[in-house]
Amino acid sequence: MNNNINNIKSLYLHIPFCDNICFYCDFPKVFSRYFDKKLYINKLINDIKKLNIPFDSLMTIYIGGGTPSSLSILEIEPLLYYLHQSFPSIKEFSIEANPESLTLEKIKLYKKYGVNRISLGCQSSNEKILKYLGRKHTISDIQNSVAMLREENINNFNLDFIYGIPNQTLSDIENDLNFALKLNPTHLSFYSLQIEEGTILYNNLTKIDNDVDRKHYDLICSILKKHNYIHYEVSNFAKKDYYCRHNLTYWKDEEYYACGVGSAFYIKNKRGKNTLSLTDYLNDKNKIETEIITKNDEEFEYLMLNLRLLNGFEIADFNKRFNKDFLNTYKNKLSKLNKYIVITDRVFIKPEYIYTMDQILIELLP
Amino acid sequence: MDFDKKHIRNFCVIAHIDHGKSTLCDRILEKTGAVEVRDMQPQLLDDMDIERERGITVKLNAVNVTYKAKDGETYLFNLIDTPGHVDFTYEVSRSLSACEGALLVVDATQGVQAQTLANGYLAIDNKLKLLPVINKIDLPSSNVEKCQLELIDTLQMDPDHCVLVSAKTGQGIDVLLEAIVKYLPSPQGDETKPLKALIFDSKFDSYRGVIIMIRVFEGEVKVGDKILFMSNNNIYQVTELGIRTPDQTKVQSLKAGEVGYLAASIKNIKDVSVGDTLTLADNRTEEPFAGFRKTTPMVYAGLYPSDNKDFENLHNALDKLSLNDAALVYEPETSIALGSGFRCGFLGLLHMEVIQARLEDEYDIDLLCTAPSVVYEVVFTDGTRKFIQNPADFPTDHTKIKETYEPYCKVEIMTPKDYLGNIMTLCEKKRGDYISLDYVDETRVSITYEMPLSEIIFDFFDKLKSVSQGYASLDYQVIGYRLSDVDRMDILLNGEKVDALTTIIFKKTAYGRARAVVDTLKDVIPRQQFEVPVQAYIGGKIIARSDIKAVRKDVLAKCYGGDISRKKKLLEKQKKGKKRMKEFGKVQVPQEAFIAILTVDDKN
Repeated sequence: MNNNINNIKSLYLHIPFCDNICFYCDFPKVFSRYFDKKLYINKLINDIKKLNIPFDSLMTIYIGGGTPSSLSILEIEPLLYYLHQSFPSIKEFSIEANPESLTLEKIKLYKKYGVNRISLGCQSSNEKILKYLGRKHTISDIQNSVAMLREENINNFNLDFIYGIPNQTLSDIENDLNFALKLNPTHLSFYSLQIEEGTILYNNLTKIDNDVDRKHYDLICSILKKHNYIHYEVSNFAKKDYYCRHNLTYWKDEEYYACGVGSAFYIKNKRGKNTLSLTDYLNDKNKIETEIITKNDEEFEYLMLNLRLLNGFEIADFNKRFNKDFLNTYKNKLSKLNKYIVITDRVFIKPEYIYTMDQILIELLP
Repeated sequence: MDFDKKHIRNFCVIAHIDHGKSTLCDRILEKTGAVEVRDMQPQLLDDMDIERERGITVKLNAVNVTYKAKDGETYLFNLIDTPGHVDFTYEVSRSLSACEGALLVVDATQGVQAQTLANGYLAIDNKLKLLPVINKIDLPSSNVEKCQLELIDTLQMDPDHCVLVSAKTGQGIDVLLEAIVKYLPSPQGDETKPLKALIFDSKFDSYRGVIIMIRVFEGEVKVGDKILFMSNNNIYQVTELGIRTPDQTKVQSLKAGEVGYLAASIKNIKDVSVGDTLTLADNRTEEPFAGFRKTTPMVYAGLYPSDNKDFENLHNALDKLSLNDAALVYEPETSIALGSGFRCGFLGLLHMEVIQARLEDEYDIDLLCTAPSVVYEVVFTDGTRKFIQNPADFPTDHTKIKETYEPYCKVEIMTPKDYLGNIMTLCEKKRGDYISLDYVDETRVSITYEMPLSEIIFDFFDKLKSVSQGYASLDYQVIGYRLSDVDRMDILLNGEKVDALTTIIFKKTAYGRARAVVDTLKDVIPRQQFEVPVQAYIGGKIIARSDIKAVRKDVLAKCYGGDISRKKKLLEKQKKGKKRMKEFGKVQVPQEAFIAILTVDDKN
């Protein structure tokens, strides 16, 4: 690991506010109407300042949530202004938005302060399923949002979808794909529905069928491939040159800063997480939980994360970072896994096994 | 501390399981001041972690306490707590031989149960005076009168002598202590005769060597004496004598009538056999005791270390455990599937679980335990006979088998009569032969069946409890081998035979059994990266098949900055779980699979 703090290239900012809570969401979030959002933004800016990030070191910023687009122009402008002023070297600046709260004015504002990538939460092209998930937007909201992005010439955008939803059929998935392809995004994320503790779906005892889930996944992968989207991570697809650079930071096991409620960072050999309590955060009682990452942990995480990428990692990169020979170190394990893993100058999991990669990781990990 | 025989009472506490023996012992220790209340912890005499954890007594435990009676005299009580579970009956019978009396504890809410009777009769056979103690009288559901009537009907106990107590609250304990003095006999025996002492327990201590628990019947033994074991004529010099109060307290001698421990720098526990007679090397007693019947293991199973590197550790751990557990037998064996391990003999399934838990907890060895099996006997066409402890050794060539035999036992079940129908159905299903039915009183019956041991050791007890809502109680004893048409059933995973999954089954119900086993394995074995056929193979034919589908999804769909630590922990946990599995060919099989195949219900 390069311990030079100046080499940290990515910053994540968390906006925990939502106008509405989706039934599947387990991210840190709160109903926006109960909290002082301006105060939150001020704290957030202060926290970023405290990091003393060298002005020309950052390459990516990602504002996620929650629902960042739920913030009004007046609420978010100070943050965008500050970021734009402070980090001129940014190459990729993403913000998450929901179709019901994204407006032309907001898009103009984002653009003004250097945001060059929007991630739009669509989830489905079926109104019934949107309802089932607790989404508050319609299909036409999605189409309008994309039209507005195009109008403002923001052509680099991602659309999020969810599959593996109870009672969702393969033709529902096909419809989603057709719908998405028509909008011609540079990037697509398809996430299988996870029922996490503390969500409304969990409380409703929703059950997922993994066999059906896999059928959905296979269909998604094959159709997107046909349309020249590169499947580059388990759940992510992009046109050439449009991989999400910010998210690649995580998957390549590189370091990143993070500010805001519940956000996680990786700085030097520490992974940490800011408090999950908005009240504590607003009262300057941000309790940060940290965990030391030993060299062994790091190796574990490196493999676990890099193998999520369809093109895996470069053996030379591993050898340099861990100062040992990958092939030699993992000789025995690799010989048992040769059916699932390809080794060239890179190491990667065969695409047909990427969806069962935990089975492989359990064998491989140190 | 010197007591004449008149002031000594040697007694044990016997009961059906969970009727409150250990709690009663706790109260006696507390009341006699052997233990300060502040040092008191529940089940004080149970030394092993697993005993306290599970609230059971596995080994007998002896302790000496003094009691100042109302007549002004001080008495020495030698009290032995005994196990209640049927697996450990042999411990009970050893305890009995060291005593003149026994407290027979009956739970006032449960009444007389199968092992109340079994242990009561055992005590009467050993010519012990029984003092009935009705316990748990503080509970609203207790019915003292009913218990008394049952005791009259079954064991002809005088209801006037029943002591009513609540071991939990301490109520009645004073009366009990007086009753012990008054009703239980003091030991006989001539101190001037040559030493004659019975060894009723032993355990290993790494500093002092083997510690022997003895009951002196005649004569006296002193520190420095040369003692002789009459079974093997080994001679040792006594280095230490003492009593447990319950801490060990050294004494200079033990005399006729007394119970205590003895150390003599005996290095090997195998040199001491429980039930042996101890005498003085240069002043021998003439007649040794009859001794105990050697305990024979009823159930055998293969114990294998999950990690083959642990084989030596497992060997050492078994050596150590067997120092204090004469009933545990083991010898090395090799399985194609599992590598090197041991075939171990146990008294029953609880005994097996206890050993397994102790190996894992006390010795930190990850174990894989194969399906337990009883010992079958095969008679070959050439007239030779062979006992089969490991199902994988059962002959595959049927033309060479003339007959097969399996162990049978006599099963006694006591139950409220409402559950009689359910229980009889269960017994028939388990190939039981009906013998008799007796009414204990107008509401409860005692039923006797003879049935194959193989049918009762696995889940019979659980099933019995569930069909009787927990009311039925069970006692059984092995009565011998009977002709029985059995065969081996092999299991193939992914086309490969897994010797550790071989079981011996009753031929008539083979098809239903095979179906049930492959279906169970399909559910218990996690999905792998490829489809795995599970096949049951009997007499040269595949007779049932079920397929484990390939895993279709095993990935975290979303993994961003905040998910990494959580994800890592999840994987580490999965990795640990996987370590506990065994690989056959390329198929990962969890420990549960070996037990699950035994507890399936046959399908029709």
